[in-house]
Amino acid sequence: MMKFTFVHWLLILLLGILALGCLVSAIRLFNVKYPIERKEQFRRSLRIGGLAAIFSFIVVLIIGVYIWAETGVLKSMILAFPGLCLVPFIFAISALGTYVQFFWYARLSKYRDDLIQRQIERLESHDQKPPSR
Amino acid sequence: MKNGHFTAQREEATLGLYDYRARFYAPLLGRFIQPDSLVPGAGNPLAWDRYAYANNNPIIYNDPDGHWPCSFSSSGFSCSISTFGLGSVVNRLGEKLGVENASDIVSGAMSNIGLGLDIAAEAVDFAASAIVTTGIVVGATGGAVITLPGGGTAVVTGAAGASVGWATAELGIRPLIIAGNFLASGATLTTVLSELISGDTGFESTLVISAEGIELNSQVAVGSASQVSIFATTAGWISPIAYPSLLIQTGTVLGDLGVISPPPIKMEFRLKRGELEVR
Repeated sequence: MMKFTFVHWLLILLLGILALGCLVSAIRLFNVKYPIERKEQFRRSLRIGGLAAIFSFIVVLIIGVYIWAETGVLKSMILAFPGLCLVPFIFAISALGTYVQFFWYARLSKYRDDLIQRQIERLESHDQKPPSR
Repeated sequence: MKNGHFTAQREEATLGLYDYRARFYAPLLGRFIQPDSLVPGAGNPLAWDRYAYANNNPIIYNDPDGHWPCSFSSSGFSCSISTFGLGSVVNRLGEKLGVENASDIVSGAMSNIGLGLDIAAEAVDFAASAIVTTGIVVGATGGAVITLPGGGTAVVTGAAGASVGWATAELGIRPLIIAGNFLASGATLTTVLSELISGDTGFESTLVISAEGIELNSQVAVGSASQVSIFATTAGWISPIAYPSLLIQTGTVLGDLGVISPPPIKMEFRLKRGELEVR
């Protein structure tokens, strides 16, 4: 039976704000102007992976609070802690995925720039065409 | 209390029992007086006798912590570990904390929070797809604005406008894509853990080192929800485009709700003398 009290909601709110902080930090790291150097891409991928790991850790803590509310026993929060063993996997997949996404977005950015350049060239050639007789 | 009895365990003198940390052993009976909370080596029928000491073979095996039978003999060493009893461990831990049916509570909490995170990720991906659709439609009909080198602007319409609108929108929704991936990763963590506790997902491994070489036998099981969740999160992180992300995330939510339920994967690996056998 759920026994959510003010303390539980407050903890979930605070943890939620922390999780949101991780998310915003990751977005700030991810929003870069392309192209970026390979080394910078790697560094940012690792940092975003780290933020994903911290986000997962906060999720485990939220689960702990949920279990505490369910059982009414504070110590029962530790029942959620086996979830921490999966955090390294979240780090690995997030870092790798971000690295791949940087690659795709660099391609997409180049595709858009080329497309715009082609349109500009087409417009300029149209302007310079001598008037037909 | 005395130390250093059979296999160097402590004896509870008043009870006449040996303390194997995870449970007590009765030397008069030659058996544990409490059931094992783990079933290490679940493929072995002897392992399912949860009161037996070291698979009823104390000459070959010993059980240093009451859970995992390890053997040291002149012929070699063997040891096995398993996650398939994690639910029992959670239950035992819960009992110590005064919580009954702890594995059900933990599993339920994981599932509920996982579903919440997946629905949030679905909403984010839906918003991203809606923005991309708007970019394409507005680019094709009203036109996409491009900046000219001289500083002026021009409007391109039709297919070119749709392409520029799509690419611009895709680049603009990066914050939503990464937010969706973060939420989906959290959901995967909870889903996999929930199935690890229920035993639908897990692994078991036995290592044997002898004069004949090293032999490793492993079993891996991946439950339906874990499969959907792991696939969706991996694909989500790798795919940067909005529409596939929305499609994949929709599949995950349907997986959470049990609408999509692929058959569980069970695989066995055997590594012996450098040769790998997979079943």
